[in-house]
Amino acid sequence: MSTRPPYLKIEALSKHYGSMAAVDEVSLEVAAGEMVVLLGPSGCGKTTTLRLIAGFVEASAGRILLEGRDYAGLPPYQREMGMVFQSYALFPHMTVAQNISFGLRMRKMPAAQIASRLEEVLALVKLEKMADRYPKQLSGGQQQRVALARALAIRPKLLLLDEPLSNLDANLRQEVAREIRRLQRAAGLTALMVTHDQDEAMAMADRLVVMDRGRVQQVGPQEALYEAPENPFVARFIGHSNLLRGTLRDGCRLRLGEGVEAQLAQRYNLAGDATLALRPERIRLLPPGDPTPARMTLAVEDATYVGAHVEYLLALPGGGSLILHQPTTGLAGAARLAPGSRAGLSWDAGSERIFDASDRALAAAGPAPALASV
Amino acid sequence: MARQPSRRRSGEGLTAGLLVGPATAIVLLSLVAPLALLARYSLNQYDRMTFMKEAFTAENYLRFVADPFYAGVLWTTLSIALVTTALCLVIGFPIAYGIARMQSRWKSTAVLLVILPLFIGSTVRALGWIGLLGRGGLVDSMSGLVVPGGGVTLLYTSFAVAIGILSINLPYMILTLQGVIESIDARLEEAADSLGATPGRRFWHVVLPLALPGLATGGILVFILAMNAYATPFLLGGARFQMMAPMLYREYAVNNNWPFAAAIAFILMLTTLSLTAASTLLLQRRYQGA
Repeated sequence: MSTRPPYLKIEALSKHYGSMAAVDEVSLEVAAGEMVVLLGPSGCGKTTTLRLIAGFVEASAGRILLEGRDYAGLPPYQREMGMVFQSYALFPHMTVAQNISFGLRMRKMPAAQIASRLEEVLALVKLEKMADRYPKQLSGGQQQRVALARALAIRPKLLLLDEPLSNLDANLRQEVAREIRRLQRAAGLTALMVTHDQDEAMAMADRLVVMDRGRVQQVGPQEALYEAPENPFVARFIGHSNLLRGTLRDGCRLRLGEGVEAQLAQRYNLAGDATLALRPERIRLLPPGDPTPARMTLAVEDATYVGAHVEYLLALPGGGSLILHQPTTGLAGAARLAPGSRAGLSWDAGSERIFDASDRALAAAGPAPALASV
Repeated sequence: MARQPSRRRSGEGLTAGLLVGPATAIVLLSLVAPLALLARYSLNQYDRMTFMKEAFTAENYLRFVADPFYAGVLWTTLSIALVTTALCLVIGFPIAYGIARMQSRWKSTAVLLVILPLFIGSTVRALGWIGLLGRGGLVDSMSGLVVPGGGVTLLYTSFAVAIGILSINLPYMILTLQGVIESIDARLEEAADSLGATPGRRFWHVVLPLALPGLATGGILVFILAMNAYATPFLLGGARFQMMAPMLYREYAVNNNWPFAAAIAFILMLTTLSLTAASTLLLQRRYQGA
C-alpha cells in the first residue's frame, strides 16, 4: 500500500453487549475506490461492524476515520454514507422516483437539480420506465436496483452494502453482483460489503476481511486467503480444507494416530501438537504402480463421481474422513479405487499448511528430506 | 400452475356458509333485532299513564333538534370526545413508539404497565379521580398549601371529565399504535437516517405516513369509547355537566320516556357512525395508489 493515508481507517473498533463482545478490536484500512468485503459466519460481528460505521450503533471503543476525520458521535444522518439493506428497506409509500430522490430532498437540493440527478441515476440502473411505480409493483431484482440507486443518488462518501444479494434468486445473483461492481467502479466509490457467502465475496471484492467471533481473522486479496490462510478457521472457511490434527516429529513427520503418519513436503521448526491443512483438490491420488512415494496412505471409504471430479472419502484414524477431489480430466473409463482398498496420497510443498497448537500458521524452514521409494 | 378461481369445487361455498352461519345468526339476534326494536320505539309517543303509545311520529327527533339544551349536550359530548381523542393521539404516539422500538427485556413489563389500568373498571377509577380532584382532595389541599386559603376544586368540571376519559382511553390508543409501529420495518427509519433525514423529518416523511392507518384505527376506537362514555361523565361531571350516555340513561330509567331515549340513542349512534365513516373515507382518499 502507498504512503498516502488510507481513505477509511478503522482503529480497534469494539462493541460490547454486556460482557459479550460483538465486535472485538477490529482494525482495517481501506483505500479510496476500493471494494472491501467483510466475510464470516452469522454472528461473527460483520454486520455490527457495518452498522457501527453507518452510525446506527454506537461503538464501545475505537475510532472510525474517514478522510482523516473522526466520525465518533456523528449521527447517521450527517455521515453521508449510502446504505443498501438486505431487505432493501424501500419506502413503501413512495414511488421509485420519490425513493431515489429522498436523500436529495433531505439535502434541500433545488428541484431542477434533483430532477437531473434523478434522471442520471435512473439511467445508471436502467429503471427509467419504472420511475412512477411503487416498490411492491417491482420484482426483487428491480427493488434491489432502486435501493442501490437511492444510495448512489446522494454521492455517498462510502457505500455500505449489507448482504445485498441474499434476497435474490440464485440465477440473478451473479448478474446483480457484476452490476454493483460496475456501478461502484464507474462512480469511483469506496465500498464496504457484508456477506456470509464466500463465492459472492470472492467474486466482488478487491480485498476480503474474514471475521469470526467478533475478531478479524485475516485481511487480504482472494489468492492470499486461499493460498496462505493464517489460521485453521480461514483455511476451512475460504474454500474447503481438510484439517488433520497430530503430533509433529523431526520437523516433517506428522503422526495422526495409530499407525498413520503424514510425511510433510517441508520442514518446520516445531515439535508437538500441530494441524495440517490440505485442500481436497490439491491432494493427488497415486494410481497403483506409480513409483512416486506416498506421503500418506489411507483406506478408501467411498468414491463418488460428481462430474468435474471424483470425490473420495478416506478414513482417518480416530474417525472422520479426508476428502480428496480427483480431476476427471483424462480419467474417462479409468477404474476407481474400490472401498476398502489402500490409497497412496501425495501433495506439493506449496499445498500444505501447518498451524501450531495456538492455531498460528508456520513458515517452512526448508524442504523435507526426499522420501524413499517404496 | 395457478388454478382457475371459477373451477372451485361447489362444496366450498356450502362449507363457508355453514361456518359463517351460526355467527351471522347470533349477530342478527343480538344486534340487529334490538336495534330494529329501538328504531321502532323512537317513532312511538310518550304517554304519562302507559309510558309508551304506538305511533309513527318524528316528534322525538324534532324535540332533540329544536331544544338548544339537547343540541348543547350533543355538542359537549362531541367536543369532549374530539379533545380526548386528539390528546390520546399526541400523548399515546411517543409512548407507543418507545415501546414498539424497545429491545430490552423490560419491553414486556412496559406493555404490562399499559394494560394494567384496564384491569380496574372505569367506576373505580372515577372514584380515584374524585379523591384527587374533589374538595379536600389532593390537588385542593396541595394548592391550599402554596396559596393560603386558595384551594382549587376541579371536580365536576369539563376538565375532570376529559382527564377521566383520557386516562381510560389512553391504553387502547397505545396498544393499537404499538402494533402498527412494530409493523413498520425499523430498517426504513435507518434508511431515512443514512439518506440524511434528521429525526424530525424522518418522523414526518417516513414514520407518520406509514403509521397513519394505525392512527386512524386508534383514533376511531378511542373516539367511539369517548362518545359513549357513561360512568366517567356521570361521576366526574356531576349534575350540571351533561353528556349523551348519562342523559340517555336518565330519560330511559328516571323519566321512563322510552321513545325519547330511543331517539337519543339513534342520534348518538348516527353521529358517531357518520364521523367515523367520514374520517375513514378521508384517509382512504389520501392513501389511494400507495
